[in-house]
Amino acid sequence: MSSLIGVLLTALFYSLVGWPLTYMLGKISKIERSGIAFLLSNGLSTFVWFLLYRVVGRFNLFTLLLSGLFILAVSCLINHTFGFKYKNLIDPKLTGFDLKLSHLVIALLLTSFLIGSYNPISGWDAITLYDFRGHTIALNHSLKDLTDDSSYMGYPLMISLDHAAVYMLKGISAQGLHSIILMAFIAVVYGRMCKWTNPRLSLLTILFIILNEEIFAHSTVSYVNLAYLVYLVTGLIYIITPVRESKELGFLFAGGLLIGLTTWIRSDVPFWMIGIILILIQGWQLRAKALSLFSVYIVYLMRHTWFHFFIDIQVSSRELNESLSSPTTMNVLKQVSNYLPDTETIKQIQSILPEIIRYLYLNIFSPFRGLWLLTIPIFVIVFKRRDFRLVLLLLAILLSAMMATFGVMLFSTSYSTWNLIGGSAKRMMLFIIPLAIITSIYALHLTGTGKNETK
Amino acid sequence: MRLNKYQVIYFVTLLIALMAAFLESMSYLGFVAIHFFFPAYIWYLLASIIALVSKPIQSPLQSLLKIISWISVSVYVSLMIAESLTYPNFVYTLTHINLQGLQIFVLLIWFILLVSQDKQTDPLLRLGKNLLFAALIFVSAEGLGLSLAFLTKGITYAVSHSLDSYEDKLTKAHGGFYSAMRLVTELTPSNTLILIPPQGNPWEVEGNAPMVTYYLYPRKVENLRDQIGRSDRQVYALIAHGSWPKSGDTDYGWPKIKLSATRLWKFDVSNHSYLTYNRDYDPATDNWDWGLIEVSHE
Repeated sequence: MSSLIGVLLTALFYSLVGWPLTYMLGKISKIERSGIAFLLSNGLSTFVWFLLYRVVGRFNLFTLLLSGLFILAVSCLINHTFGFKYKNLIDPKLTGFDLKLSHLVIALLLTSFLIGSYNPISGWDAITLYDFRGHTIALNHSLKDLTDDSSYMGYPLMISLDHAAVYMLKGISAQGLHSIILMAFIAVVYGRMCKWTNPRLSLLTILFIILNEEIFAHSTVSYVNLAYLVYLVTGLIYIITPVRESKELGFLFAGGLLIGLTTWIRSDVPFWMIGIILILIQGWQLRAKALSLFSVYIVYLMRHTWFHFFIDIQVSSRELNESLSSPTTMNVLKQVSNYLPDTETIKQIQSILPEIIRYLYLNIFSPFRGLWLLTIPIFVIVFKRRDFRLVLLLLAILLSAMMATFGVMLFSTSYSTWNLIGGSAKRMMLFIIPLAIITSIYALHLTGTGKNETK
Repeated sequence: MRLNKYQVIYFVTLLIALMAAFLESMSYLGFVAIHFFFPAYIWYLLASIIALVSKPIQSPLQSLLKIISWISVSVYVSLMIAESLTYPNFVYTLTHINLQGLQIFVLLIWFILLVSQDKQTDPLLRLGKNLLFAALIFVSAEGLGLSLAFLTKGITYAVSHSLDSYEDKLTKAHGGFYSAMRLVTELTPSNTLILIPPQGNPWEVEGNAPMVTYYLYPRKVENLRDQIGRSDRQVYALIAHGSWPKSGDTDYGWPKIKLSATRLWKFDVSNHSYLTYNRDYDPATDNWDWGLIEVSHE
């Protein structure tokens, strides 16, 4: 029971803190607002909590509360300065089959929460990293015993700080929070798809997403993969939301924040760059260059805040030489300093190319073959309908495939055991599931209506 | 109902394509190419192209296609559930149905059904829309089967163990390992050093320092390789037979060297109890499943 209270209190805190921040999005439904308020505030509150820790050297509930109040104050200031007001879009009234579908969605989400809250935390990575850091932070109120070992700091802290908050509230397991992250995502996707298509197709979209076993199973374990896909996909669909006529520019900025927050969950994958590309395209298309550059800067700022901290603790570590030669540190240093491979790396990649292709087929293509297949008809519909939003969605899918390919190539040159952790590559690509489903249903809607929605 | 020659070609091709998909579902992918010269996918492609350029088909045949489509997708979902609830290849072992082949059958028949009732005249748009719809049905059917199996397992477990405490659940998840970790925390002060086996078979779990640290924190955990070095903390060593099935050259049992000790504890993890011995550790006599050594520095 104490876990349930801890998880629900934490979720409520995030939702309340994030509520005023959603005013910049203009007219959205209450369902979507609750979801995005939770997501934005979860990421930003933990991020500010971490920054505050750097200043006062202590993680506790008081500093978390201060972080929340800071987010709240900044949100109110932004709303006051730019005149953003609370404007509600009425949720569509569901009847008949649609109502049954919505009941099914709610039942599935509650079941995910039940299973996640009931099961003990037993996933290998959760125990050895994410949840361990949560327990340690809650116990020591600091990063004591974590900064000595680079393997504990290989991933940013967001999920561990979520867990720490629950443990500070005397919870035993923070796993239920991951189902709430899924619920928030589903609320956002439902809201967006209602706006882009219609309630029936929106319900089918979220049902298809929840009924994907990989997504459902990840909402019941304490890994970072679900949170990562939620922030990445929400960020991408927010970035492509504004169209020339509507000028919903708040979405572009919120999308930038969400993409920045993906680097606060996982800093070892390159998909935030898709967000950057889309922000720049949208900035050019919407004639909002200043805002798009500012959003890109936000992403950069968030990413580099963590990296600088990581490099700092590596350098100040007692075992300086050892840590600087560790694969994690080397990889991080490479990522910070240079994204382009040198000639030696290219030669190395060439020599193991057949093995890389096999690895990509087994772990990136094959597990999602049905979803990759969807891109073929989407291509056809893009060609026939020429809808700009659909073009951007398809571009996001293609860029992710490209980045996964280059990422695996570079990874294979940095880690000798790269080909033994195929499961990790598969988990990294989970975001392709909701992205492909959203794109497909939006494309299907365009063929049904037969008119250009966002040209 | 009279059929013109184009319709006859359409139905014959469709029938051959469906037969090919059915045969490969009941055997293996590539069966048609080996036994009937033409690879199955040529027929799939041909049937799809003809369906795309043909007019929508009439009611009785469409009803038949609809029935076969729904039956195929229901069978597919049911078999996916069965496979997920049991073990990989369960369906093939029991029924000789090849699930990969059945996937193609489901995708093909739904595509043909959707195309056959679509009044869209632009063939390219007809292709895009119906292939997208069919692929979505296929993806969601696959997801539905796997998710229902996952839900069934999750809910059944939660309901049947609803009164378990968090520790009971961890014991069920990790077996003897978790009970051993609990006994170590009860027997050792928090400022000690616990030595564990090297990580590798058969000590995949108990030799994993981050995993052991999760349960023993704030105790310090280190893998012992050769000799016990100097430490400012009281040192303990875990006795571990090896909880994973042996797959390499390394034999069960750890530590493999004699250790000077003040006390030894032999754990009974199923009853959460232990026996205490005041003597040195000898691997020849003390090769227990689980236990603990209080290392003497003398």
